[in-house]
Amino acid sequence: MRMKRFKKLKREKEPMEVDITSLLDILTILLVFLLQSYNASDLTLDVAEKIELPKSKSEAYGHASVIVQVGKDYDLWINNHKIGKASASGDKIEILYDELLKEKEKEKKELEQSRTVASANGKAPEEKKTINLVLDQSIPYEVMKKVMHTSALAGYPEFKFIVQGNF
Amino acid sequence: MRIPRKKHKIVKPNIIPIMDAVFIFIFFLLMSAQFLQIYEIGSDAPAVKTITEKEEDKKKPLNLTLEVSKTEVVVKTGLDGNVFRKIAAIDGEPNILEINKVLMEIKKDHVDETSVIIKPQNNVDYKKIVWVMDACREIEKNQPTIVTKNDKGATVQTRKLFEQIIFETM
Repeated sequence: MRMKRFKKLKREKEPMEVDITSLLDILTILLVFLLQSYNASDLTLDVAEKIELPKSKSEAYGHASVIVQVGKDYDLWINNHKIGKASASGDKIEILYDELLKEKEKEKKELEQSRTVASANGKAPEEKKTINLVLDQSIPYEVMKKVMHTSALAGYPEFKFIVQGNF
Repeated sequence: MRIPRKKHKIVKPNIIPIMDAVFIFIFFLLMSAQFLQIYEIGSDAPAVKTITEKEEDKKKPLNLTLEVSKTEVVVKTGLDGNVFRKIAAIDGEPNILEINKVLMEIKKDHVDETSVIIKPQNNVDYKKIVWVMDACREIEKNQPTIVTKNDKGATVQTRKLFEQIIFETM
């Protein structure tokens, strides 16, 4: 009688086991999906409103640099800050030029600060001349040409056109 | 007398550490996931080049130029701007396959050349310029690899065309 009660008590203290097989199934599928969409590029891009990127066969990953975005209505953004509109007349977009010069100054100051550390390692940091251009697909070449010309004058002669994958 | 049976307890592996690792891994991948595939096409502003005496002895530059308009793409070669081919647009869109074939033909004779100058008209859309850039950079997937000899006489195999794209700015 005592043995039976003792055995019953012992059985009641056993912990409840949770079956997590289905949870593991979900995690495995999620893992596979995320591995497939993993991005090795250091470019973080928030595409502005009213910008539809053109499709391209390019497979080259983008790199972090100054980002200039031009929307359908010629709205201009630099590094996700709206600065105005691209003007219809003239060869140079003045607001874009002024903002890019400010970015250049900021970069130069950061470069000076990091130069002392880098020179100790024997490697001098290089000035960035690359600019990422995110243009809406309907933009005419006239506006594209002005953006490129303004960027080159401001010290960014290496253009990287950001496009959407098409394969 | 009954022989007492030993109850074989089923040994279950402890997967809690594995689950911890998987959760952290998933969190990391979620942060770095990109659901819009974004790539880049590089291009440089045209640079002024000083011609020295030594360079004058070299082979004449190809100076491959593509004049893009809404109705056609004109392929020109040489410093004189000789028209190599005129490729008419189809339904207002550049004939990318034909442009690619013409560039393949030029590449076979100038395998060491890698640059192309693109001169679109002001009213051409950016989307179409990107298509032309794609046609300039690589051979289409359904076309065979180019096998030819370079200036040094070595056999070269390539699927790249003219990757260095230069826009003629003001």
